[in-house]
Parts: sequence; structure tokens; C-alpha cells
Amino acid sequence: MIFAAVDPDDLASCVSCGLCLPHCPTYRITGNDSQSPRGRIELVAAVRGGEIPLDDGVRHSLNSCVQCMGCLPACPSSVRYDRIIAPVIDELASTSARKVMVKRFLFRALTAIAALAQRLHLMPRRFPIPPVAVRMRRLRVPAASKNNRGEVILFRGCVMDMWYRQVHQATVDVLSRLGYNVRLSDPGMCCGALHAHAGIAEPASKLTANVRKCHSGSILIVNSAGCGAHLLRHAEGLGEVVDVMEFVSRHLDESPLDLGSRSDDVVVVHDACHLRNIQGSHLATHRVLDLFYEVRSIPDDGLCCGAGGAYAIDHAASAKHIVDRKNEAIQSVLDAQVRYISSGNPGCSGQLQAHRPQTWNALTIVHPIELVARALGSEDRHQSHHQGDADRS
Amino acid sequence: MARRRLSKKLEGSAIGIARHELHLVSRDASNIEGNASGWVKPANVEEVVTILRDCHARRIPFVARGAGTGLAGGAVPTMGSIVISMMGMNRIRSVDADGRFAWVEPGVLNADLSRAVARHGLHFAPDPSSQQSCTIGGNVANNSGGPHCLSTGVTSAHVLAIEAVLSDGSVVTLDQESSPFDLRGAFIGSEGMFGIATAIKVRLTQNAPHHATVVVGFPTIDGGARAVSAIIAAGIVPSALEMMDAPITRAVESYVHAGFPLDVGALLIIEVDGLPHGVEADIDSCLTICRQHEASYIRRAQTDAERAIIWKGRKTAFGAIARIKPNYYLHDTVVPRRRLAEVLGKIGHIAAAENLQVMNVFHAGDGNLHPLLLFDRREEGIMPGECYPESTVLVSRSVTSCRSCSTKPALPRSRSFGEPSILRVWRIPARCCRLGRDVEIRSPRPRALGCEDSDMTRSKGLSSGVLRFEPDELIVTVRAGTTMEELASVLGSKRQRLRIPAIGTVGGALATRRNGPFPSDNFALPNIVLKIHAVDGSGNAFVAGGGTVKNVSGFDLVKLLVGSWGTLATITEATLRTEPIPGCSRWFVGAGDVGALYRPALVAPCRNGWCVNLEGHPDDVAQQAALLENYDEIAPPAALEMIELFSIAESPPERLEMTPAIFDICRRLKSEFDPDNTLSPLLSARWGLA
Repeated sequence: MIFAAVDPDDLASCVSCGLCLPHCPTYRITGNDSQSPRGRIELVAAVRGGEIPLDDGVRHSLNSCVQCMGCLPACPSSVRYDRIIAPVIDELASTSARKVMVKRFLFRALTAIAALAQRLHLMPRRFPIPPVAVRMRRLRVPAASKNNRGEVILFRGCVMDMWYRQVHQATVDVLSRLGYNVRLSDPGMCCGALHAHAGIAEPASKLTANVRKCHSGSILIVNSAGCGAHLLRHAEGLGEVVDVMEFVSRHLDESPLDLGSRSDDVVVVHDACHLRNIQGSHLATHRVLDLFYEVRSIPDDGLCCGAGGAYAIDHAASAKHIVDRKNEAIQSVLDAQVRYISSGNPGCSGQLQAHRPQTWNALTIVHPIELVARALGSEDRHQSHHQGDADRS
Repeated sequence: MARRRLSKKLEGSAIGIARHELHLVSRDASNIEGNASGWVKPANVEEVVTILRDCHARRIPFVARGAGTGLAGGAVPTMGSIVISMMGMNRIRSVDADGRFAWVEPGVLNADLSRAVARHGLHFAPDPSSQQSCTIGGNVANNSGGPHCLSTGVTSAHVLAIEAVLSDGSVVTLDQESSPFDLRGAFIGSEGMFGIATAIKVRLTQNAPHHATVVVGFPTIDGGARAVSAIIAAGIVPSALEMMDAPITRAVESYVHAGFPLDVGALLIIEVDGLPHGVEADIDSCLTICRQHEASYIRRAQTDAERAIIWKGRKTAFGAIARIKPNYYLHDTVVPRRRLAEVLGKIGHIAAAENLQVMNVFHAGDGNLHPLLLFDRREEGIMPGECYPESTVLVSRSVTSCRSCSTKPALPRSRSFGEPSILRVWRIPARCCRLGRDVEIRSPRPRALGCEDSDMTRSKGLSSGVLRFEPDELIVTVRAGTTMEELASVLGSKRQRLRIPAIGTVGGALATRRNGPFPSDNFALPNIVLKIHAVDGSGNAFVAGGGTVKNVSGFDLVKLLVGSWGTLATITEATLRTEPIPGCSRWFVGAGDVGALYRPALVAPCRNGWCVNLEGHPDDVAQQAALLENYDEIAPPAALEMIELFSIAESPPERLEMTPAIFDICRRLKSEFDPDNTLSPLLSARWGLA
């Protein structure tokens, strides 16, 4: 039987009410039932029941799911779309060329080549990879202290470590300020999220198991929403997996952070689907940033930006459509005060960066923890400036 | 074959025949499955015209589809129809914030429209439970309501004009001005059988500055239902009055976590919105009544977020059903409010006897019940050869046995046309509505009410008198010959009224759509007319509409007759929706901006500039009046003074500029209702209809 791995009870729990439709990015750009969660569930059920054959059309409908899971919180019957689509993607990937594509694009696109290509202007502007440093800075981690509140582990991951090392630095800085000893996970340790997203189930579970083995019982701080969501789903054995903003938010009440004065800058917060729909912790970012900046939400009910693992590469045309819609929604809250767009997921950051309109030159796309570090850091500079004054006098 | 020829004509939007797509467009949120033979997604009016012309020429049936969230199978294609998805036309064409209207395409989602105009402090009032997903086009096709239509009215009260493509491919604009008959009104709720709307001019409503949203728990459904009746009977019309029974509350609560109490028999959501003093006074009265009916739980939403989550709970109720059983059959019916408890009891009784699981979530304020019958289609024997369980018929019978007047059975109807051509479809209303032959008036040559000698006040020998006034239901049934003055005094005795001026007879007011200076909103003609008894040109008596407070199913013949100046039929009797007289009503005349006022009862040009009428709680009216600069208060004008003050024309339009397509429809309507031109013959001739 095709799609035998899907639980028939999960399929039966959908009453086809259609409340998921507006929360699905592919439905939003096409208006086609075959590009909606309701439609995909029906297709899986129909193929599984032998009503319709598994043809290219069905394959395309199912593969075109971004897996943003925007439909999960929207569903009043709590249909487990995630449990339906995951085995389907796995099954389709094992019989398609997609696997090869993902390998080629993601794991052979070595960072060094990317960096070189960017310098030589060989990289297409729309390729969702941020400007990459040719030489990586080493992460500066303060020495552990006994007086501190405890130890946390910063999960470095692969993409974050290679392309967004400044975010790791900011994370370490803020966690240290909160009074934690920070330990780094092994460089190059991958959680397998991208593999799982692409339906390459076996290597994914091996990678995830490796993380579990190395860090069982620890508090794992993750600053990539995608990795966090994946690890959280397979968290058994791990002490705790927590998004960095959620962690900061939790410790604010008892924190030694001297907040100082607020900045006049305005931040538009992009909620990563992994935070909003899977971890359910996106509000932490708003809460924390609100201490330092004026925060604006994007008025589109947290619709996906189209990054979705390798989706932006795999389904470039759809991803472009989806992000254009996102950009329009962002545009509607922009004014001269807005300096930053914050995104807690490297995929989203890359996607937004690659498709940002030319008129957004004054805007920087940053990780929210960088903004926190910056707010605290400027405080430092402020103090040292004062000290300098004092020295001179 | 036909498909191939069709697709050739459509560059860029070829007919899709992929198996999986057809599988999906053959179903919607109902239990009904169809069989589409193709689907197409036009991007503009021209493409719709091309498609419909081809379908017409080749006699291919078609069905328009929006988001497919309908629960009555409205988007399900039968007879191998082609599905025309309107999701490719989803632009908001223009917004006029000052004029408070917008032109939108049919694929715009209901909630998206309100979101888009929120920065102007406006929204689109009809709010069906599926509002986040459903389209405006679908709302028009189904004349959708929603919790808040209790005070603001259903879709037809919020659609000003429709640009539609008829099945022969002709493009028409339907409104209340450009034709002698309200084709706009007849189109709304016709479930796509008259054509496809390609643009809709919607009325936008000002957002309320103040809300009170309260969740009230009752030990029994019966107590809740009686409280609802009592609230309306006390002359309070909240903006929403919704009820959920205990099982559905439990299902919803486990999804939204709105803090709904789980130990009550029924949950009532009461919302009052508007200006602060009126809102607080009304909600206090509501809660006093609830306490008198032994409410066991009362909680008022303290923040907007809390209010939002209460509504999220109510509006996701149908979807949350799958927590209990994977399928449900929805019955949608309106019963008199005072019989709510009785009908619910009966439904419960039948359900118990038949061993069925039934849940109730409904618009209590309208008496609009939604008994949901739960089942699992995988169970043996549950689907006896049909796409709905046989036992549902029992539930429907229980509902109809209570003399409900307006039921919307969710059974597949032939809604695709092409086979019987559009020419015939426009004739359906007259035929299918000739039911009540026992109405007292039968005359081979009845005289018209809206006659051409501009004397609207004579009653032409029709019998008069108020037949039935049900103040608790806000309904009055009256003979057409009754003077509006007499009606007003009967209603006034119970502190109720009709907003339209008390001039002439009821029949005359209806025939000429005499709203005076008032806009044709929810409290004016034709929207207050629920049911009509009439006699057509051949002397056949018929009944149109239904005598319950909300009434949206079937072809809206009432809209066609109201304002037709007696050229189609003679109205003999009408059931009208009344409203409580507000605490205070003040009139002002002057000049200057009135944009800051909140939903004034009237703003209209008059002899001496602009005239403003403010109504509501005295303190609110006083505050609003303070916003009026350069305005002087005047005594409330008597009905006849209004004619003078607003220079109301008392004669039918001399000429009507009709496009050929509209003219064609009107002429066919005339010849169907009155083939011998016995009704208002001169006027009909002047308009070229005879």
C-alpha cells in the first residue's frame, strides 16, 4: 500500500472545514486546493485508499508543501498534519531525484566555495545564502565561573556555525551576561533537521541520535529555530532544548541585565514558522525585544516566508512568490524609524536577504539575539565612554 | 472533446484535467461529492466571459468555486460540470474610506477585506464562522450571515452592487438604481445559479469604539434559551448572541483554551458594541436578565485578546468536531426564538431515541439553529447509499415539524446550469414560489399598488389590519392595505418601530421601496421584509420568503418585488422585522463634516444643507451631538415633513437607462409574472417592459 506509514486515524480526523487554507503559504499564492493542507490530506487519503493513482500531479502537490506547519495551530481539530506529511515526504523522497538534489545543493555547496563565489559575483543574487566570511572568527567564550547559575550548551549546528557565527557570538555574550557558563557543542555537529525536512529519514535520525548521545541531560540552547524545532521533536534523552530567545525571556525577571535606556530604533519581527507553529515560543522574541526597541509585528498572521529547509532552492519559483507576499506585508509596517528586521531562523534570514526589495537599503536583517547583544553592548560602550571621560578629567 | 475546444480559447488559463485536481475540486466542506470534468481559474473578467460563452455554446454545465468552505455543497460540481475557481481574482480593486464602500473581486477572503480596511477604522460586517477562509464571492452566493448579523444584517444588507457575468457571457452590473427590479437582491443568495460575480461593491461598517463581550453559563440549555428570548423581548438587540451546548464547549475548549466553563449545560456569548454608555447600559440589562434565568457563570472579557479568543472559540466550533467524530452533518434552520428551548428539547429527544450524537452551536439571537449530527463514515451501515445518514432526515423532520419557516437542507441540488439555460433560470422564482393558493385575495385583474398616478397613499381596496404582532420576536405581519401610521401606532405600543417614514400604506411603501431619506441598510427596505404574500398578473397567489427573523435561503423573490412599483405582482400581506425604539433620537440640520460621528442613523442632504439623525443612549447622543459644529437641532420631522425636507420624489422614475442584458432580464421577469401586462400597465409600458 502506498503511504502505509500514515496513520489512518490522523487522516480521518480532518473534517475538511478549510480553516487551514489561509495559513498555508502555497495555497495563498495559488488558490489551488491541491496546494493546501486540506487538499494534501485528501490526496494522501485518496492515494492510500487506491482512489487515485500516485502520479506526477499528486507528487508535485505533496512535495510543494513548505512544511511550515502553519496549518497546525490553525486547525481546531488538531489534525496532526506534521505526522501525515513527514512519512509521505520520506516515501516520495526515496523514490525521487529530490534526495540527490538536496545533497548536491546543500552539502556540496561548501561554504568556502560560496564565499569565493560571492566575492567573484558568481553567486546569483537570489540565492538564499548570506554574505559569508572568508576567514571565520573564533568564538570568544568567557571562562567558566563557580559563582554562575549553571552551565548551558550552545548548539552550534552547521549552517549557523558557518554562515552566522556572529549570532553565536551574540548568544554567548548575552548568556554570559545572564550569568551562565556557556559551553560550545562540537563544531560541525549537525542535528539532521534539513535532512528530515527533505525526507532523507535515515541519515537524519542518525545525526539526531548523535546529538542525543553527546549531550544527554544537558540544557541545549539553540539559536536556529529550525534546528530547535527538530531537536525538540526528538528531545527524549536531552535535558532540555530551548530557543535562545525563550531562554532569555524566562530569565528576565531574575536577570542581572541592566536594561538602561531604550533605543529609538524600530524592529520588525519576523516569526519563524519553527518558533510559531512548532515550538510555540515566538512571543518570547517580542517580549524580550520590547525591552529595548519598539517592536512591530508583520500583519499577515505569521504566514511562512518560503524558506522551508531547502525549499527556496528546490522550489525557487514558489518560494519567490511566497516571499514577495511576505515582503508586501513587511512593507505595510515600514517607515523611516524601522532599522531592523529580526529573524530567529537562518533559513528565513537568507530568504529575506535574498529577496529584499532594493528600497530596503537602510534595513538590516538580524537575529534577535544580536539586537539584544547590541543593546547591552552599546550600554557597555556607553559606560566605557563615561569612564574615558572620567579618566580625562 | 468540448474540453479541448474550450481550452483552445483560453490562453494562459487552460482547462485543467489532472486527476488529482479534479478529485479535490469535486468536494468542499460538506459531505457531498461531485464529479468535475475540468477546472479553470480565470484571472480577469474577460477570461470569465470567454469561459462562460464557450460553456453556453457547448452546453457544458459549470459551477463557480471560492474557498470551498461551504457546508451545503454549494461548490460541488454535479453532472460533470466544469469548476470555475474564482481564487485567481482576489484583488481589492478600490476602497473609498469616506464613502465607506469598496469594490472587491470575488476571491478576496472575508477576513482579508476587514484587515485591509482596518486602518480606516472600517470592516466588512458579515462574519460567518469560516470568515478567515471564505471568500466574498461565496458570501454573496450564499447570502452569508454570522454571529454579528443579529444587529448588522446578512450579506445582502452589505452589498451595494455586483458586476456579474451571466451564463451567456454577457457582463452586467446589478444594483438597486439602474433597473426597475432589485436584481442585485435576487442575485445574492442564488448560489451561483444566476451567473458569476466578478466584482462586488461592498458597504464598509465603522468599527465600534467600545465592546462588552460576556460569557454566561447556564445549568441547562433551556434556561439559556429562555434568557435569549427575554433579552430580545426586553428591547435589547445585542450585536451577537451565540450559544454552545456542553459537549461542543468541551471540544472547543480543548483547542482554544479560552477558559470556557466546562461544568455548565449551555454557554451563551453575549456581545454588545457601540458607544460606551449604550453598551454598558445594555450589557447590564442583559446580565440582569441572565441572572434572573439562573445563570451560574458570568465572565466579561477584560482585554481585546480575551475577546478575540472567545470568538475564536465560537468560530472554530464546527472544525473542532473531529475531536469527537470525524464527520458531521449540519442542519441549518431558523425557528422562532421563543420556541428555541422546545425545538432543542425535541432534537435531543430524537437523537437519544435514535442513538445519535447531536451537538448544538448556534446563533441564538436569530433563532438560527445548527444541530450537528456526528458520525464516522467508516462505520458500517452509516451511509445507506447516500452521502448523508438517513437518520439526519429525522432530525430535519423534528425541526420542520416545529413549523420552522426557513430551512436550508444540505442536500445536493442541481445548481449547475447550462442544461436549462439562463433564460429559464431567471424564470424559476415565479414558478417555484406559487405555493399558497389559499390566500384570501384572488382577483383576475388586481390593481397595482405602486400605480403611476403618484398617489401612493390609496390602498386600492386591499384589506387592511395588523394580523400578528410578535414583539418578543421583533416581527409583525400586516395586510398591505394597512396605513403605515396605523402600523406605527401598533408597534409603538410595545416601544418598537420601523425606521421608514410612516407615509401611505404598507403595500405602497414596499412597492415603491419608500425608505425616505434613510439608506437601504439593515433597518430599511428591502432588508426588513421577511415574507410576502402576493398575487401575480395571472391571478395566482404566492408566498415568498419566510416569517422568521433571519431568512436567507432560496431565491430572494422578496427583493425583486420590493421596489418593483407593482409591475410584477400585487403585495397583499407582508411580514416585517421591527426594531426597538432607541432611548433617544435627535435631529440636526447644518453643514460641515460629519466623518467623526459613529454610525449615525442618518446623514443625508436636505433642503437646508445636511440633516443628521443621532440615536441611542441619551448620554452617547449628547456626546456625538457635541461633535457637530455648525449644526442646529430641529424637532424630529413628522413623516410628511420628511417629504418636504428631503425633497423626496413621489413618482416612479420616468426613464431607466438599462443595458440590453438587464433590459432583457427585466422583460422576461415581467412576462413571467404578468404576461398580459395587467399590473401597472402604463408604467410597464413607459419602462418598455410591456
